[in-house]
Amino acid sequence: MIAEETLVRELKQQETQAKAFEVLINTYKERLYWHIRRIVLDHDDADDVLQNTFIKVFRNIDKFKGNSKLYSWMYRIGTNEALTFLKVKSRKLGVSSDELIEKKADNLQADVYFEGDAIQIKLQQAIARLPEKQKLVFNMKYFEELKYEEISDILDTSVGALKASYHLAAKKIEAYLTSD
Amino acid sequence: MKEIPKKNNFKTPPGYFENLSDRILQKLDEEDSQGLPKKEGFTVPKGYFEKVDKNILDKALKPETPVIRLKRIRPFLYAAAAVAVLFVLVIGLNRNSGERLTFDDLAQAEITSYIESRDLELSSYEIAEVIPVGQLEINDFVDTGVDEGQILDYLEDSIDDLDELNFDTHEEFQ
Repeated sequence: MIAEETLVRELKQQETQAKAFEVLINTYKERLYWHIRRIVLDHDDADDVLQNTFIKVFRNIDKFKGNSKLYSWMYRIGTNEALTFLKVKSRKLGVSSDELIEKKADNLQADVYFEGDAIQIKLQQAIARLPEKQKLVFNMKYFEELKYEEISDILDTSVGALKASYHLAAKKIEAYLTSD
Repeated sequence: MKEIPKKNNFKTPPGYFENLSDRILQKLDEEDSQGLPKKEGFTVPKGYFEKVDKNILDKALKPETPVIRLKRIRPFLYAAAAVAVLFVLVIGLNRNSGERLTFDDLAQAEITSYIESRDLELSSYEIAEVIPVGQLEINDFVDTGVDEGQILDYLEDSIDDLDELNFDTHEEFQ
């Protein structure tokens, strides 16, 4: 795999950027897609946000100063794009972002690109009802298996606060799953 | 007891305390997520990840069309929105009444609804730019609906000695 510094350098040079961008997309498309998909829940929205994220990365690569890892920076852009996407979409529908995502989670059964069983649907419904930060932390830690230090870099939150968020999220999910 | 040397004969494996906190946290994480499915059930269309590269590359590498900053046309947008609202109301409502309508006759809810439905996306900074702050008072935002008499009644009921409030020192009560 190409070294990150080399990739960034090539992305910033006009003669090499097209090829480097292709490598960048190939390297990160799946990880970013799944990160975004867990936020927006359905495939079409995830596809829109993924494309916008890469385009934003491409257009703003000169602003990347290397203070964090490239993938952390891309994750941050992807997270912001996904949350903004939900806000715009929910405003157009006249509901809040929370209501929109809860509704999406409640309708997962009808999604052709979701084949989870009853417990997996209920897990998504539980996650959808978490506060935004807890939702992000839970998904990144539990499903994406990122380290707290990596999540801290992406969400700009202390490791201690992330651990507390994860613990709270897990407790709320457990309570939701055992209810009824 | 004094004869027994005070020496700890127990030992720990090398490096035990160095990574103890990590192991405890890992155990906490494991306990937190016990019984939860690790698989989510999301899928993607067949061949999606093979095709998505091309879509992104096509869009990203396409030369950017010059962007006209919305800020420059925003004043015209406001004017156009105001004219459109007035026009619709004057034409529409004048049929039912002979009274001449002005912008002031519009209910706040109608203006809000119009702006929201047109997706003008005004930020608080942009709103601040068009509304002269000097002409605003707190009551423009907060409808207290409480008059002075009610305040005095409340104070009378809840305070033993109204003199404690030193009304005399306030110019309005002098």
